[in-house]
Amino acid sequence: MAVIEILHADLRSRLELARLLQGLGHQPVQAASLRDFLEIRDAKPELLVFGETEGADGREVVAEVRSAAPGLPVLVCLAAHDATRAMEYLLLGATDCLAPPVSREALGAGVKGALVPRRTALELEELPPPPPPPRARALALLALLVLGAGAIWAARRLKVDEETRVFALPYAHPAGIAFTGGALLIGDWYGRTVYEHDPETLAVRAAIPLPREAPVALAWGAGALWATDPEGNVTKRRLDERLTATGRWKLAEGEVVGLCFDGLYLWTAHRSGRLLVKRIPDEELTAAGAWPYPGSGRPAAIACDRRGLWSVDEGGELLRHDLADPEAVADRSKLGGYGPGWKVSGLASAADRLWSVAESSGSGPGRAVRHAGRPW
Amino acid sequence: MSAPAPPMLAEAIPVLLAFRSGGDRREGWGRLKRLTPLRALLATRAPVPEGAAVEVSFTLEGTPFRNLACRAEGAGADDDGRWIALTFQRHEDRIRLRRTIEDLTWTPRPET
Repeated sequence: MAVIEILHADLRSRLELARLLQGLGHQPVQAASLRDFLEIRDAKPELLVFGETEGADGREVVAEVRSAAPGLPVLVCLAAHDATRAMEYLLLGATDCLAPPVSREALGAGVKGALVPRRTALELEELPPPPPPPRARALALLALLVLGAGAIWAARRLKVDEETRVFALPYAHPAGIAFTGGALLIGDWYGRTVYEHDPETLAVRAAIPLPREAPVALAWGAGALWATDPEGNVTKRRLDERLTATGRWKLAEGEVVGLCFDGLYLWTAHRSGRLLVKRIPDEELTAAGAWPYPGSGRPAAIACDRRGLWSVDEGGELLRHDLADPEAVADRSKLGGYGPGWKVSGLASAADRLWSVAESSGSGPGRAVRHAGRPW
Repeated sequence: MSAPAPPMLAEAIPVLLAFRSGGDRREGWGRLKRLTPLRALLATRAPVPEGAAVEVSFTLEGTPFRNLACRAEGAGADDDGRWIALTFQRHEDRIRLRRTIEDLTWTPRPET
């Protein structure tokens, strides 16, 4: 049994509510006005049932009650079925609203619910991949047919010259590549997946979905995989089966198109601001320096190795920068392995060999290129 | 080892819902018992038919979500009263929800 105060300006409605509450085993206390309610607080009600009067705005009353007795749950009996008005009461702090006519059952359930605090449980769930557009569906079907014919996704190699090798990838939107020492990791921004490839054959060893982000750049360093999405979020991930996230930052410089780790610092390349930023891999990813990008176009990807900082711009020009002064360009050359219609989207260094990935402007599969060791 | 309890908001989130029943557009209200990027469990007295298309609007810790297209996958009653289970239909809504929930529940985990 609970002591329940009824606040209703209409005597008949008040008496009816009191009768229902008594029938439910509760002890009603009645108030005809807000002043009455404030004066008879000695009854120590556990709940206030407020009855809205037709034509009157009860929102002020509920706000006053919540202000005078913040811990007292308020159950509102609406004068009319009005969902918008009910939402206003709920947002003012009412625990629930009952639409007319108020039955014994509805009042009983309302009282029971109002006496127990309700909370919302939040849970994360992995998202399924987005529904592919018809064209992508056709591509996926084609890929399946190829697989069904017995082709393993060991990459198809097309020899360009003695040292440069081109690999067709089993996905169309590669973006970001990182070398972990034993594997090449390539992100597919459209499929929101990171693929683990054999670094010799480029056969796919594993595909790890990252449903909450579209990876557009990857880097390996400090025992972690670093990834960015198109909105400028950098995520640090453990190299486990799910690439579990262990940290996340939103960078003020905006969209990140390139990431690399030089052994001490994490470098980020920002397309819209045409910036190269050196960051300490601490809890804030503190920027230790920022330089204008010296390429002729906007940066598209970066890589780090013992020879310096590498970048490729949107026009396919490859630059080697001095790590101490990235504005100083030691070498410029055209990145090989691609003809017209390719957009380079990732760069990495593996054992002093540069790797890149690119998307076709058409609908074909993406491409990875292991570049010649010279002339850089 | 049992799974950790999901993060709870201090108060259940109020929800405005609109649905069709018998050809008429109807509105109702309720509170979220559980929210994920894909589905919601809603305590409500609104007589939402199973399988109905439902639009819900709510504000999640300051972030408004308006007219999210859902489908009522089930309904029932428990100690808290009547509930309906909703699934969010649009991928972009799911992404927004996931980002917001992730921001609200994010706790950095130490490296092992």
